[in-house]
Amino acid sequence: MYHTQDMSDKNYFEFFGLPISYNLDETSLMYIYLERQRKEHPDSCTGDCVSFFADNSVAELNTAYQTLMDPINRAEHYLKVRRVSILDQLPSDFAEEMFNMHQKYDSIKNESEKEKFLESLRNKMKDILSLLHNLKEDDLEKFRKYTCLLRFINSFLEKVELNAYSRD
Amino acid sequence: MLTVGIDLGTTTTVIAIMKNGIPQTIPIDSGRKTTPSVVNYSKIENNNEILIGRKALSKMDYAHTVFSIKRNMGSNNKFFEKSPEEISAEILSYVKKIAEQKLEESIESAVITVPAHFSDIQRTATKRAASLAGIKVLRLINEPTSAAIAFGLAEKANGVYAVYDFGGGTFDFSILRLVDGIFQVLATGGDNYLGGDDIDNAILEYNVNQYDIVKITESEKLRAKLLAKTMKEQCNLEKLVEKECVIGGKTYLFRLSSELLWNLSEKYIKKTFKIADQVFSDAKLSHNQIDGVLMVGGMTKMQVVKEAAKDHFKTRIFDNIDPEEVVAFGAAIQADSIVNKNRNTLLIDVVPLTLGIETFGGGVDKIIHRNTPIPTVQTREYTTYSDNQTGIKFHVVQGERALAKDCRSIAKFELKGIPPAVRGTPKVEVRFSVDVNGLLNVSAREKNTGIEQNIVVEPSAGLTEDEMISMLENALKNITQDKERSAYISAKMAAERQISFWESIINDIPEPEQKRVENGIMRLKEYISNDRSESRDILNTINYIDDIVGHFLDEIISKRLSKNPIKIDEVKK
Repeated sequence: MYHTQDMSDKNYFEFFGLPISYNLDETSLMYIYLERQRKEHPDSCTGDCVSFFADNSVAELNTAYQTLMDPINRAEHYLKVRRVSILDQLPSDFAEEMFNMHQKYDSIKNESEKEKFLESLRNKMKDILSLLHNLKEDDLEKFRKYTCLLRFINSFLEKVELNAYSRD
Repeated sequence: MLTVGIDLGTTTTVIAIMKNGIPQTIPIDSGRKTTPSVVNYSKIENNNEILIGRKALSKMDYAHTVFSIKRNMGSNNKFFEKSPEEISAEILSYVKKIAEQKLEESIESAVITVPAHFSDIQRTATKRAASLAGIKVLRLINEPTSAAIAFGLAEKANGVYAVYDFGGGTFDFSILRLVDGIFQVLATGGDNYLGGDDIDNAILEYNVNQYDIVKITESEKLRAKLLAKTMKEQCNLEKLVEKECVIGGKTYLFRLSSELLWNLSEKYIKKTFKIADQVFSDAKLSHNQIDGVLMVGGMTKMQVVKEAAKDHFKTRIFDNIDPEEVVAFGAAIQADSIVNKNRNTLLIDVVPLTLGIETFGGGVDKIIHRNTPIPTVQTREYTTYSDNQTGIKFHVVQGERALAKDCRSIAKFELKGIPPAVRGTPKVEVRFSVDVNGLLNVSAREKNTGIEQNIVVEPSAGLTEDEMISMLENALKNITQDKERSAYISAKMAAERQISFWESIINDIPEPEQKRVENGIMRLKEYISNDRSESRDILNTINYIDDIVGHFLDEIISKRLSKNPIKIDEVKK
């Protein structure tokens, strides 16, 4: 079974009435989201609206919110809105470094050293995120590169955490 | 007709109702707020009567008594030939009956609480238990969320709070944001097999080992375990508790000191903190970023638990609301709010466990991640991996583990009838939706042809459909007032009649209405093939389609009449 990526054509920035920009104010997004929940949630839907329509519209609201609240999902969504495709392969100047990341992690035997290494990756992600926030809006090529890198490191971390979970 | 909140707990059950805007427990069992979730089946001695709660306990007939049935919810296990659903239904019927006597009015519906970490199968089983007891389930809500509602309204709290819910059989930990009556769950986690029961077992085991007791019967064990539980509770007030326990005709002195209690429970308490810290990390928060921890569940009455929690979280601990009542209070508030369409309280809960599909090779393709807010709809596209493949099998699993075999199996189904094609060309869209009860619905559709299959997620482990039907029939015999069930059956029949009519005229309806009608019918079919649907949803959908079709009906009929004029002699026949 192959897996092909699901693509919705919504612009979630517009959906929340926000400017199309990677830098958004998360607190105001949260308040917009909660106010819309109050209006649209199936529990508040009375009389003339059928509950499954409310269910579907709130489901979309939830997806939109989750997409924008997560920094990596938001970055990918931003690219999509700007009509730039997401890189599905690591740019060549990062490929080697990332490949070494796997090898390096596997070669560490000591648990606390492993944790230190993971911590350094988390910090690297933070650095890249702040880079993204400070990029010029039209520097989409760089934006695309960093987003890809973020996704890559994040999946690596998730995989490591999942394995730790499975060991318990 | 009343609506209530019920906390169907592992060790105790509590029922509450809103009175003048304030939640109140309805005393059931000899005037007490809590009813032990215990059922005694020694029918012959009891004149064919099943005993529940303290009556069952006081019988001291452990060979015919069921304890902690909640731990078996959603499983195939049977006790005295009864399923966990049926046994839970006995408890629910009992509290319902007594509450109705106390309130002098009948109870129609309820919000029932479940552990946040309950899987889809366990939730479905709980809903079935309620319908067997003749209770219409307005909503299943998560126990920690329910506690937060009661707490939030009582304290008029705004901010971010954690709920530490350590009960008799389950542990849940949730972090919520409270904003002016909105309860938004940020993350949740838990363990369905971690609770006071484990500590009681540890106390029992310790004492049995002290005396090298090797032979102990099942009923002696149950009695000794209840004794251990009492000792644990007493140890909260006294430094040393000693009780006599008879095993195999001999009397032994069981002991428990507060130091020993800590040693025996430390392992379990530490485990709760490990889960809690995972939830903090999922919510991307640290201990000092929250406004406090709300203590819920019988185990949090224990000093050792309270103190360990204070040490661990280093934040404000709220233990001023009765930890045994608070969950039922929240359910009562939510029930009242749903019935009255009250816009002041709103609950946004999350999916507790990741839902996914087994991939080629035994991995898991995660479709809905844990902590996704509900309701939610997610779709994924799959395709064939060999040429001319006409069917794709799907295995739906729930859990966080990397391999499908380590997760809980939820359902298996196959989408058949895909037209033969080169591999990779068919597009199969799988749609997962989780409703506000946290219940899953799955459908698969081949996009080129529109071949579709809806899967009502039935427990892979659990009851078969036949068993369910016979259970329902029995229940219907006993509970004549099961109005929702009969309303459902008649709505279903009406829907079937309507569908065949609409399908006969659908080609005469112009676009875009035709598509709308088609979608409506699709949805309706989903409802009537789903035992969990409600008559209200079916009727609403019928009305919705009817309204669209109504505009064209006259035109269609006259068109048909002119195309196929009725012959006079046919009319004569």
